[in-house]
Formats: sequence, C-alpha cells, structure tokens
Amino acid sequence: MSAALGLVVVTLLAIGAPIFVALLAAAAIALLIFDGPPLIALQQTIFGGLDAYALLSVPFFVFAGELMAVSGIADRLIALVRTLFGRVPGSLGVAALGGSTMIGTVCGSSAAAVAAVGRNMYPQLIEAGYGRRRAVGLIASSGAIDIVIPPSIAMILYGMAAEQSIPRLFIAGIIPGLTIALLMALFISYSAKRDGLPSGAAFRLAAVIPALKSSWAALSMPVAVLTGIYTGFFSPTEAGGFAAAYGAVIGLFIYRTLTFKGLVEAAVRAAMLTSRIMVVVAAAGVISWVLTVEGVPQALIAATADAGMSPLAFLLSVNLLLLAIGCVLDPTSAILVLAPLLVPIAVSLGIDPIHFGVVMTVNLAIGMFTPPFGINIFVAQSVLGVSTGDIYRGVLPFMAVQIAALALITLFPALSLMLLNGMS
Amino acid sequence: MTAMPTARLLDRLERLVVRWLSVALGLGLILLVLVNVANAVGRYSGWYAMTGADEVLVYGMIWIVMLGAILAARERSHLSINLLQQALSVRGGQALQLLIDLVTLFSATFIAYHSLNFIERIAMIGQTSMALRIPMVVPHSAIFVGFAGIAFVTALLLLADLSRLFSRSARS
Amino acid sequence: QAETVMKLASATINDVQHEWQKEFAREMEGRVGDAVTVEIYPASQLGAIPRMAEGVLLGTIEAFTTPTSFVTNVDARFEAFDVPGLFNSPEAVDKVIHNPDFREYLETLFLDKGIRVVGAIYNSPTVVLTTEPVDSIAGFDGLKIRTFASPLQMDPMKSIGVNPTPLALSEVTTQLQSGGIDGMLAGMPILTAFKFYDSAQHVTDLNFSEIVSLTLVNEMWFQAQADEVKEAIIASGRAAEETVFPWGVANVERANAAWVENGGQILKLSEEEQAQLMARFAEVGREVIADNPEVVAVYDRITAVLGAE
Ligand code: NA
Ligand code: NA
Repeated sequence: MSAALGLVVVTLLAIGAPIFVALLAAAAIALLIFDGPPLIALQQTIFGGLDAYALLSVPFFVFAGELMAVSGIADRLIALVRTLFGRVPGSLGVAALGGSTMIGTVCGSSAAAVAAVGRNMYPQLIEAGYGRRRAVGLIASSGAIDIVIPPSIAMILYGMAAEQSIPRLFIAGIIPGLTIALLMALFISYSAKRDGLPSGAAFRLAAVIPALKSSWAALSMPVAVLTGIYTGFFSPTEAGGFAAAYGAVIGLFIYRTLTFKGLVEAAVRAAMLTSRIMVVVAAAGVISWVLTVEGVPQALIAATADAGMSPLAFLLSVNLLLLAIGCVLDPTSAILVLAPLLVPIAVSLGIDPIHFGVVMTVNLAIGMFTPPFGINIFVAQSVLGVSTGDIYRGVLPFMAVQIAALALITLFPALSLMLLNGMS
Repeated sequence: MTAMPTARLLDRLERLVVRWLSVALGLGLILLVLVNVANAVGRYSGWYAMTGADEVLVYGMIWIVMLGAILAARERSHLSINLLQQALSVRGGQALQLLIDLVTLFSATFIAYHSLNFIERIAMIGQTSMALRIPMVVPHSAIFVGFAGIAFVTALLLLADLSRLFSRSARS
Repeated sequence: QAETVMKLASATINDVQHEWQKEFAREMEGRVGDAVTVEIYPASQLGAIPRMAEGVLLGTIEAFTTPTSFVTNVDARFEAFDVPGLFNSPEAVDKVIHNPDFREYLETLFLDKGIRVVGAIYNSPTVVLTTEPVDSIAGFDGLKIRTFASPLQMDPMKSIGVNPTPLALSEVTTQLQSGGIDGMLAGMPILTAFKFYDSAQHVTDLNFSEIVSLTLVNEMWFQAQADEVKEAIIASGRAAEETVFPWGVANVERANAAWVENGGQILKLSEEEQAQLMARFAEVGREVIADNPEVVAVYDRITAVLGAE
C-alpha cells in the first residue's frame, strides 16, 4: 500500500509534475484501489489541511518579506550588518543566517522565512560571489531553524498531540535552535575563508553612524514585532500581519520607496507564492490522512516497539525514520500522526518527552530541506528561480552540518533541558 | 478570416480576467492584514471583540489560495521538481509537458468532481460555521472552484500545445 | 462477508472520551467478535473538530465523540446541554443521560440530521483558568477570558464583567504567557493534560455547568449494518458509559490533584457569591436559548428528568 503510493508520488515528482498533483494523484489512486473511506473525504482533508489559524503566518510573513524587499528595509539592514561585520569571513552569509534566525524568533513557519530571507538576501549573496548553489543551499537550510526556535507551529502541534506543555517545549527549543545556528555560522565562515570569498570593508566607526541613521526605521521593525509578541499585543501568528503592516507603513511614509500601486503588486506576488506553498501543504495533509486510515504509521511504530531497543538505539532509529518521513510528509501532519504513537514508547524507555519533542522537531526541520522533497526546497526554487538540481547540490553541506547538530541534540538531552531545569 | 479577431478578443479577455483576479487576490491579502490588525487591537485594548475574525481570516486565506492556484496553473508556476525537464531535449520536454498536463487535468477533475459531491451534501445538511454562522458551503466551495479552475486552464493549455504541435508537424 | 470497519474519532487522548471508546471497542468485540473492527483515532488524528463533525455527518467517519458545545453548529439543540445552571454535579448528568425514557429520546433526537447518539458521558465541570488568583465575582471585572465564540459562554461571562475573548486554540498558550489574555474557560482534565499550569496557575471552580460528551454515529452507515450489529452498537454504547462514568468522575479528581501537585491552585467563590453567580448565569443562559423553541424543548425535557424524584 504505502510502497505503491510512494512509487506514484516519486514517479510523478521525478517527471516534474506539480507537487500537489503528484500527492493528490497518489492519494486518489490509493483511495480508489483500496477499500477505504468514501471519496468525498478528499474534499474534507484538503479543506482541513488549510483550515488552521496558525497557517495564517504563511501569507503574512511572505507578504512582510516581500515588503521588506521592495521598500528597501532589507537593503538597509544588510548594509548595517556589512558595516559592522564586513571583515568577518562569510559575513554576508552569516547575515543571511542571522536574518533567518531573527525571523525565526517572530515566525513559526519555515516556508515563510525562506521566502522572506531568500527574496532579500539571495541577490546580495550572488553579487558577493557566493555562487548559486552555496547561496540557495544556505537560504533553504537556514529556514529550518525557524521551527526549532520559538514560536514554532511544529512544537505547538507536538504539544497538542503528545500532551506536553507548549511553553516548556518553546524554552527547550532555544538552545538547540542556537546550536544549529552557531554550527551553521562556523561552517559558513570557515567555508568562505577556505574558498577565498571576498570579505567586505574593514570596520570603521565613521561609517557606522550614517548606516545606523539610514537603518533605524528598518531596525525598528523586528524590534516592534518582538515587543508586540512578548507584551501580548498580538499572538505569534498575528505578528506576521503586523510585520506586513509595519513594513508597508515604513515603505509608504518613512522611506517613501513604496507607492500604493507597488503595495498592491507586492501583495499579488505574496498571494501567489502563498497559494503555491499552501496547495502543497493541503495535498501533503491528504497523503498523511490516507496513510493514517490505512494504518501505516501505526504499523511502522509497532515494528519499532517490538524490536526491544535501548533508548539510544530507539532515538537513532526514530531519527532515521523521521528523516525519511520528512521526504514525503510535511512536518505538521507528520507530527500530528506520529507524536501520539511515538511518545508513549519514548517515555517507557525513560526518554524525556520534552527532549523527544525537540528531537522530533529538529528532524522534521531538516527534512524540509533534504532532497528530494521538502517545502523549503520548493519555495527556494520558486522565489529564487534556481533549478532543483542546484538546490539539491547546494543543500548537501548544510545538511551534514545540521545532522551533526541533530546528533548533539539527540545525545545531550541537557541542551534541550538545561534552561528548563535552570528555571525550576 | 473572422477567426483571428475572435481569437484576439478572447486573448484580450483572458488577460483582463487574469489581471483583475490577480489584483483581487492582492487586495484580499491586504484586507486580511487589516482584519488581523484590527482584531488584535480590539482584543488587546479590550475596546471591542471581533467575534469570528478568525473565520474571516482563515476562510479568506483558503479562497486566496485556491484562486491563486488557478493562476499558478495557468502560468505553470506551481512548485515542482524541474530536474528532468532541464535534462531533456526541446521535443522531449514538450512531450513530458503534455503528460504532466494530462495527469494534472485528470487529478484536478477527479478532485473537483468529488468536491462538488461533498458540497452538495453539506449544503443539504445546512451546516454553518461556529462563530459567524456562515453556511459552510461558502468556504468549502473554494476547493471546488480552485480545482475546477485548474482543470479548465490546464485543458486550455493542453489544447493550445497540441494544436501548436500538430500545426508544426503539418508544416514540416 | 467483508469485515466492517468502525472508525471512532475524537479530539483528545487519555481522557474520559478516549476511555469510553476503548470500553466500547471491548464491548463490541465481546458481542460481535471480529465482524466489526473498531479503530480508535484520538487526538484529532482524523482532522480538526469541524472536520470530524462533517465526517460523521457525511459518513467519512463512522463515529465522533465530542463535547456537545463543539457541534452546536450542526444542530442548535446540542446547546441545551450547555445552559449554565442546568447540571451542577456528575450525578445530575448521570441521572438524566441514563434515565430510560430520556435515553431513548436522546439516541434518536438528531436522526433528522442523519446522526444517532450511541454514547453519552459525563466529562467534567467547566472551570476558569486565570493568571492571577480570583476568588470573588468582583475579581473577574475587566478580565479577558478566552471563551468559545458562543453566546452560551460569552453572555454569562459578560454578566460578571468579564471581557469574553474568542481566540484560536493554537494562540492561547502564547497569549496567556504574554498577558494578551488573562484566562480561559475549560474543563480541568484538559488543563492538566496540556499542562496549562506552566502558563497560569490559578483555577476558579465556578461549577456553573458540566461538560457532557456524546458519541455520534452516522445513521446511514448504522442502518446499513446487520440487525445484530445494530443491537450490539446500541448495547455496547450503553454498557461502556456505565463502566466509564465512575472513571470519569475519578478522572476529574485525578486532574484536580495533578493540578495542585504541579503548583496550581484551585479556588472557589464564597457560598453566598456562588449562589448569586448561579442564579445570574442560569437566567442569562435561559435568555440565550429563549428564542429557539427547539432548544427550549430539549432543555425542558432535561429539567423535567432532573425535577422528578
Ligand atoms: Na520560530
Ligand atoms: Na525532505
């Protein structure tokens, strides 16, 4: 059943069919061949895949990213980073990573971060001589940090499915998220130096004042969004809408780089990209639903439980399982289906369910940019116009870095739990 | 001779529809941002509660997504893996595109058909949304309209490609 | 004969609804063996609550177990169970749902919507979670409390000065932590299951309504079954809830204990204020349903059973 389904998906993806078509065709065939629920359930699951408040952060943050680009907010922020850290090898790459991490603190959706950072940083990375593959790999993989650093849609869903405290999961994600970011930064810097990428101008205090002057309004945007979230003015999902509104106001009235016509054009582009991302999310939801009613994840997990593993062996096989699942499912549906099944086994082996939630999240985050399938890959392709082949090759080194981070996070539960233990 | 002006007229009409639909989607997204801001301001200040704002936002997003999916199908800009396409010759690429269009046409028609079936039944039951008591037919119809639209524009693209292919092979 | 699959869905896990489903599966197995395979999908595995409701209406899911307040958009008559002041103890719920006449009436009440009730269970009392302790009616004045977007929750809250704030469930935790809202209405087992004590520690047990959960079955599917299967479903449903009722009552106590153990606090109003609150809530609740005679009819049926000794 799942093998046949997988074959249809892979074949259609390989010949270049739209991803949502590949997923829906496979689901339809599975439902037609196997005696299952009535076909009207297709409508219900497609609709259900879109009918979630938390998904609003996708259109909002995509729109905000678009506005940051067209209004010159992004340019000024990047210029500031270059003025401050220009001499550091790979400074621009690290700035892109920093941009992703920064967006990660206000946004729980990776696809939106890839779109926003990609739209703003990719041209500059190319200009600085990073090359297509390195630039696109960096952007697609940095987006993964977004669902590890709070707030995170994936963790909210894990908390609901596994009955774990969402705030504790959020706190537990901070150090692992920063660990990934740190390893990535070291690698970017190291490889930039190794490959002799040109670095920027040396630090000059005289250049800092004008850079700050021209970027204060741009700088106030992340500050305003973070302040809004942490004072409860708006929820993390609503923050995307505020970011878009704030960006529009700066572009229209402060920098005067944006016209009303330009605003509408940006909205059209954001709406179109949202649409391309979300039909895939909905279609992936249908596939996970078909797998669930056919009992596939349940059977997989029963097999895992029967093997009588040690906690470490269990965690490692879960890592492999999740990385593989990340190839076909989107993280949200994977978590809803797998968490209730995996968590009891983990707990019975003495694994902390919060630590386990972080491990699951990091896994699925990596799955979003590992070939062949991953929403970050597709968004990068669509926003940056880079070929799939270049993206596949571009993400590989970053995959290795993040898998190393995953190994650390899996082996050392303290990385996830120390902030929590420090609190209590 | 009368065929040319008709074709040109249809062409212009199509461009107009696409343009207006795109702008409507953009304005729709801007509207969602405004509702989102108004909702949060009302809640935080305690001045007013926009009961049902979440339904407007989510159902609005679903409509934007599905209408946008029709436009993306027309532009052939849906997310996909374009490895094979780039490796093939022009001729091979065209053949592959025909195959992809056929699969898309069948899948979208299949979904649209069962979606319509669902919508008829949900209309009969008269189910409404929780807060605003909107008939659930309204948001659910977005899925039908989206897939029917994708099927329609894909059929048009397929016809155009086929006629181009035949006229070329007739010429050579 | 091909074996029949009966999918039971719910939004929660390891609670009284889940327990009922497990009991039901056991009872079914004892009655019809493997003629019917009962599959349990807890924790919204088959979709969010509105999708599960549509699923049971249209037959894509055979059965859905849910608090009545989540399906009032399917049929307003479900509201009758949520009127404040109607039930004030588990025993009162028990008395009504297991009264033989009422039971017959309830099972077939929604047949015109294509659904049959096969299980009715006492879930838990409605409590208020707040970030700051509240032990008086005046203490609620001006607080932003997350409620459902339903007049039966919003209007009584307004009547004590609360600012009722409907909000998507995914946003509740972060809004509680950041002070965007001051509290939420919920059942205690939900609060402990999702470890809400990490976000807010204080619960005021207003005891103004008891959450009743029903298991709804698609009637078309039900009618397509053999007679002995139909009988087995009805009998299993009734038997499961007998077993599960004490489990449910104990589960609320377990949830309360877990709350306190994890640093939470459970407060009550003074007796005088509690009586005052109940009177006001009951009045507001009756006003809310007053213009819907269908709901009033069900409400009156329930109060008649409660009044009879
Ligand atoms: Na995040
Ligand atoms: Na992947």
